[in-house]
Amino acid sequence: MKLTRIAWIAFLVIAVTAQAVAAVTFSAGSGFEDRLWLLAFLYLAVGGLAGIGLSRYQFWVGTAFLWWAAIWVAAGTLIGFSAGLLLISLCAALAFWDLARLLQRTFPLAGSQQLLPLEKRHLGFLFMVLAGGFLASLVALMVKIQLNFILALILALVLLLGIGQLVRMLR
Amino acid sequence: MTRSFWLLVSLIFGFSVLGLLYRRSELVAAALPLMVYLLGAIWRIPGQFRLEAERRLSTDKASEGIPLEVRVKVQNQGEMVDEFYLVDRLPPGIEVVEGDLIHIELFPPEGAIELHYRLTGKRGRYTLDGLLATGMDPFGLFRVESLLSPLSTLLIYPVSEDLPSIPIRPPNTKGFSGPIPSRKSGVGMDFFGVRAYQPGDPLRRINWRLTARHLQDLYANEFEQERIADIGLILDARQQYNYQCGARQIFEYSVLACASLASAFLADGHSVSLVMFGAGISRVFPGYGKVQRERILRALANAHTGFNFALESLGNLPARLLAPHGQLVYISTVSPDDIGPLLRFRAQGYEVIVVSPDPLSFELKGEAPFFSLEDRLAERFARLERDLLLRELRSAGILVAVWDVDQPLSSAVDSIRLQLPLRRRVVKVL
Repeated sequence: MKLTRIAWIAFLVIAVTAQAVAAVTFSAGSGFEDRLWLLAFLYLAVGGLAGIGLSRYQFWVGTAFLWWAAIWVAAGTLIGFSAGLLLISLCAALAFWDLARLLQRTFPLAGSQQLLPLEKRHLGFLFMVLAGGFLASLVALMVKIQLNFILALILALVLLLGIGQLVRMLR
Repeated sequence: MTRSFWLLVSLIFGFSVLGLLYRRSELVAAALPLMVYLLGAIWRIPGQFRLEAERRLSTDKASEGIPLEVRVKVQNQGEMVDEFYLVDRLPPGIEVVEGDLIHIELFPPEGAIELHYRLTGKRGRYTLDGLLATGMDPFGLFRVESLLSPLSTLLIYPVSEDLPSIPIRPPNTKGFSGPIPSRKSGVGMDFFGVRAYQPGDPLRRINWRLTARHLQDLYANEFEQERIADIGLILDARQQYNYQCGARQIFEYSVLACASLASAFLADGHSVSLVMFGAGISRVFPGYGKVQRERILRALANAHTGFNFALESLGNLPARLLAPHGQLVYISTVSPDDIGPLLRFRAQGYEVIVVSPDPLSFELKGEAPFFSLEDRLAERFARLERDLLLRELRSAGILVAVWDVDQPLSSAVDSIRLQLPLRRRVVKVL
């Protein structure tokens, strides 16, 4: 499980750093420069707690961190933080949550070599999905697509999911 | 669907609703990575399993504490499963000493997974049937479970202690030669008596010393026949006399004593039967040798305590279950209610041995030490009461072996040997 552990530490660092940078860059131009160290400390503390929690096999930390990241992304978007950085942060938090759950599922066989192919496949698939999701969001943001279009996209995705599920049930 | 699925859906829903409420496309866009993730999971949901499972045990019978090997093989006859979990759920009482009960891996079509572990368990009969196969998508959002049932039955025999030959003298013996003096003249090793010489007697049996004193008659020596005996083991499985100390039960020691005694008697060539009474009566009919030992151990593996109003007293045991005038061995903690029936057995011509795991020492050593003066006094009273009870049995010619369960059983069985000469004297006087 070494590969997974390295990956989840990396994603934690990315998520925390992206949020911190988004907050700091916003604060820097809004008259809160003297309190920047407080923000940096807050993010560092949250990231550290999440890391310690998972290293002690407290797997609920992954879910808590995803909620925390989602709330910050929502709040940050409304305040006016950089949307790109928040998106990176959300994707990294999603990956962190996913890997925490993978660690939890494979915990009974932690250290076993039989898990290596599964880990590699999982990480590969995760990178692919995250990259796809991030790019889709980025494209949606960069080309300034209208809200109605995004809603239509979501509806199309939901429809696809429904059809996929229906096909599976029929099979 | 797992809880993680609902968490993800709620996040997607939350971002979308917030985006619509505040008319911010960034928030709706933030839901896209989550949706793609969900879509990826749905794309890889495992279909229905088509698995073939087989469980092989190195042996289906083992003694308590001796590990046995188990191999479980599962073959995938269906499609690829991204995360496949195989868990062998063992019944309580069995523990794994080596190997894993869980296997996790990618499970390709036509692939095979093998679990290999060693287990040991407490005395009893177990059915291993809980092989749980779980398939998941790569992100663990959807789960497909299937309970495979490669049935295997496992019988774990009680442990038994090697005992030396136990000296018994039942009134009746059987026709085959064995180790017990039968109180009848015939072919044997021990001198039995002298009688008038009869034509056909071998010349080496003539008692020349006695013949020299009688000029007209010849006298021949007689020897005591050595035969095997009918031995009936009675195991007390009544719940009300099964003392417990934490996880320990004195009944387990009674079972150990019963298994050890049965093995020792069968090794001597005797015919041994077993009667257990508690919730009901279970019986092993008389028999000889290794096959009978197997039968008795199998019955003891299934033995458990229970309560039955009809079997509250030993006296309610049907007499037809016991071989007449044979040797009875009663294995019990012994209650005051047992005195009457045991004396009755003695009066009916049975030889009786009582092997009693000592409940007092069992309780004293199992729990916190008794400190207070009242506790010590209570212990002394209980000890006196028990000594009086056993003395009453001994005075009726019943051999009593009190077994401190922390000591080897052989030490208790040796005490039978020490009681024997005194008993013989009593019989001669009568």
